[in-house]
Amino acid sequence: MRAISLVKRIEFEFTGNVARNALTLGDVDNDGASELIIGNDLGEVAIFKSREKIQTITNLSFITCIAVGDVRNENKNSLVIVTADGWCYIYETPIQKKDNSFNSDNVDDELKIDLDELDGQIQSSSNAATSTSNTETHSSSESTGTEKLKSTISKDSKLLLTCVHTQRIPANVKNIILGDVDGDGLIEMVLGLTDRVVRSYRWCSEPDKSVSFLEETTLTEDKLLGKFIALNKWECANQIGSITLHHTWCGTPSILVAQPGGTFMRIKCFATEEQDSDNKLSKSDSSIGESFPGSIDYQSLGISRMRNQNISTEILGDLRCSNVAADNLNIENSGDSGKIITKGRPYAVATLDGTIMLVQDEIILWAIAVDHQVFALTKLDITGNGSDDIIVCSWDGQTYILDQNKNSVRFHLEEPVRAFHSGWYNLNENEPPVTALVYVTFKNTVIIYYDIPLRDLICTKFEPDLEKLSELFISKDRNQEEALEYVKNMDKKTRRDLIEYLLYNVRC
Amino acid sequence: MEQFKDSHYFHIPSQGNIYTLTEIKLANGNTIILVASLKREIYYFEYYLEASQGGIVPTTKEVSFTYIPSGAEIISLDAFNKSSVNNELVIGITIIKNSNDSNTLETFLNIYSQLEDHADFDIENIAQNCLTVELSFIPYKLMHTYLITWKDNKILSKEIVFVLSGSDNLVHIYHENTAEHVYKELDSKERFPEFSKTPSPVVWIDICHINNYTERVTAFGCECGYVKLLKVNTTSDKLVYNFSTRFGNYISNVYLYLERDSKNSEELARIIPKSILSERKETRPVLNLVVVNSILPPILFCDVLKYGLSNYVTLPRHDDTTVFTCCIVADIDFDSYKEILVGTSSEQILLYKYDKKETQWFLEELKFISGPILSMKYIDISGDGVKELVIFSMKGLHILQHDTNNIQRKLCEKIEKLTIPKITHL
Repeated sequence: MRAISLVKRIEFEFTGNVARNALTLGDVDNDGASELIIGNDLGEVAIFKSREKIQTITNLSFITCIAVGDVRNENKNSLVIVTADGWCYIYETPIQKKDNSFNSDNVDDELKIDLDELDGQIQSSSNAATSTSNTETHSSSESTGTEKLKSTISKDSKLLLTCVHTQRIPANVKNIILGDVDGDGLIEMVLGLTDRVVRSYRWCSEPDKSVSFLEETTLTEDKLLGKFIALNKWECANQIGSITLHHTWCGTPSILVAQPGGTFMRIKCFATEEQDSDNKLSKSDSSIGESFPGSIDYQSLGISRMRNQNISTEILGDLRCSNVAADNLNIENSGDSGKIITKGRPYAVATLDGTIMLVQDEIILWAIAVDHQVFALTKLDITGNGSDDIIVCSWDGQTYILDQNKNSVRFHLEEPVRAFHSGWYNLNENEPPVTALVYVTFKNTVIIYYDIPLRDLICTKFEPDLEKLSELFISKDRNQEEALEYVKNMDKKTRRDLIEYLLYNVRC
Repeated sequence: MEQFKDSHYFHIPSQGNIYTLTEIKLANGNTIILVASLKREIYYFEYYLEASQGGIVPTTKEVSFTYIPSGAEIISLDAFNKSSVNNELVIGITIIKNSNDSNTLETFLNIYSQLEDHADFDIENIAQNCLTVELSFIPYKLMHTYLITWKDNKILSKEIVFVLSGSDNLVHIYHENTAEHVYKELDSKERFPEFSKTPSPVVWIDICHINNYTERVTAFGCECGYVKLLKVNTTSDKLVYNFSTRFGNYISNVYLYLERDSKNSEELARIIPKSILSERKETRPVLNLVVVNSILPPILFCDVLKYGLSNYVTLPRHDDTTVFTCCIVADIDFDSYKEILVGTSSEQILLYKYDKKETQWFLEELKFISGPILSMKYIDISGDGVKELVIFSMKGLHILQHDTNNIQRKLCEKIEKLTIPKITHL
């Protein structure tokens, strides 16, 4: 298998244990540049931007999940941090006036009021933290955190993230996805728990919080803006490997929950109008009613090697295909029926025993087995050809980059890996983001390999342009076609010598 | 070097040294690479053409050579093909062995060759057939050259011999005694008058044959900084001239190169129509010598056939803290002027380019590699006529391939150069 070595790297110091999902790449401060956010078991979250650490959030508990997304549905990214003991935090950069006016151009009037109000509230909360005469009962740790942040803000002009929301949720969260899982156009938060439960939440902002806030919720939670309301709870038969969002060809979303042994559970949920309205108020406590508007099915992909029921599984949906690649896949698969059926996007499944599969509409397109324990499965269009490549990483640092046609390239970190992620990272704010592989090692470092120099996954021989080459052989007794024929029939060795001569001996 | 892309990398568990990378040209024109590491592993690398997708698949194989006992360490490696039409491969490996009972070190030159003529190449077969030469010194650089015997102005024989430098400050020549099927040391004074006793061990030797093998130019550099350049007439085995100079430090590499490569006209006729070629003036060969000093910038001696070691330029310095380890000279950007590439211990390759207007060399680029560089080669291992840059670092072997689009463009330029008539002629 082809392998590469990588040169461009950045190394950061970061101590502590990092959970599998406690690192992400994303634009957390809404400046258009992508940052790296990592959390550890000591409750510290570090945010790295280009070549430096810009912020550390401390005094949380064991961080299991970190995600960046528009979880509040306000067209801006927030940082969601979930800890093992069941706290969910939202961090955001304070909105500047400039940004505010920009936002309000795009959103409708109602939201505009929200934003204005929100802006004021953030100001007040950070003021409160400094003057310590706060009526709201923060946990002590949090207020010191905010205080620290406040002081750093005043020191340099960079905007740092502040906690805007804290909420108690069921403990033992291990997976997080932020995405529109029910097709209503709003971003939901879906959490996978170690106790085989998947829960979905939606952010619900509460403009007139003065009434609802005090009455309905405890004071420690829901500081200002609203809260997550629980939508659904699903119980799986087995431990959850990972959860992912997937769309069928017609755009219907579903949640894929990886189950041991290379199987998965698919949850389809649809938001209906009535449900949408009463979700907000009544369904916050228990959402598993009989009226659940969706379906669940189990898929056991038929591959014999995977019959170890205990092997943990990763799943990753929504692999983008470039048009050409998609066409190829479609044609290949519709060969039997003789007509081209629109196929869904493929998704990837990987198991700890080293099997990596690409699946489309529950048909395994291909599977490869590697001799390393694969624990992380990510996607990134590393070659820049428009279709997502699958990037898997094993505990010993072997990283496999596979395209959807089963071509593969290997990279070895030569160091055990604690957590892995791939994505886009900005080295400079003004430059476009570059591809990045992020490794958290056991030596308390975070290594980012950036700008991966892979344009093709397969190496090819140089094939000369025969028509051009034949120009050399056009002479009195040989016309153009004959010359082309001559070049075509030239034996390999002669052609090689000719090319070598032309390239290295002919003087410009 | 933007146009180079990573083609392959393979990790080697224990590090090699500046002597443990060699290439073998097979009879079918393919080139393979052999690399050895300190802890006895020898790897064989080639590209294998995948028929189904048209891609080339890199394959690496560990070859277990016989008579390399456990605990032995490989110092240098060299290989050649005795025949130009068949695969008659000879691989030389020098090893150092710690003997159990005493503190003395035993050193050997193991020579592996194929027993009988096999049409196809089988490295496993070669690795099992070993002739051992016991050495009385610690081996350094192992290489090969032609030993040419003349008779009546004709080449009687062109034998390939091993050249090995040693800790006894001498350079030894080993040739095959075909009758007895053993390798014997040749008295180097007679046939190789250039290798006399040096003040310190010879680290690197480069040999270049010019003027249709009638003359041999040899350059070598020693540990103490002594560099010698000699020209030998191969018909009479007499020294033509002899220049030497002394640098303060360890010389890591000497590299002789012709400013303009000339191709054998018979061979040219085979590949290209004669009408295309403009009449070539037989020009005097211009031979340059690059001396890579381990801690000072490399020095280029220009036209050593004319000026000896007196006409030299020092290449610009980049970094004070690095050790220069190796050097290759090749036209990697196809502008018909050769570039000098120098590998360093600080994981970078310095690319020196000649500025024709300013008539001076300048540092064009720094290319970073993920390990300290031990040696480099610029050879065609993919078998397509385009050479690849092979870099042997402390971590492993890196192969960089030219970008095909760029090659296509350059090739068009070159073809146009040949096909479009020159204006001066009209």
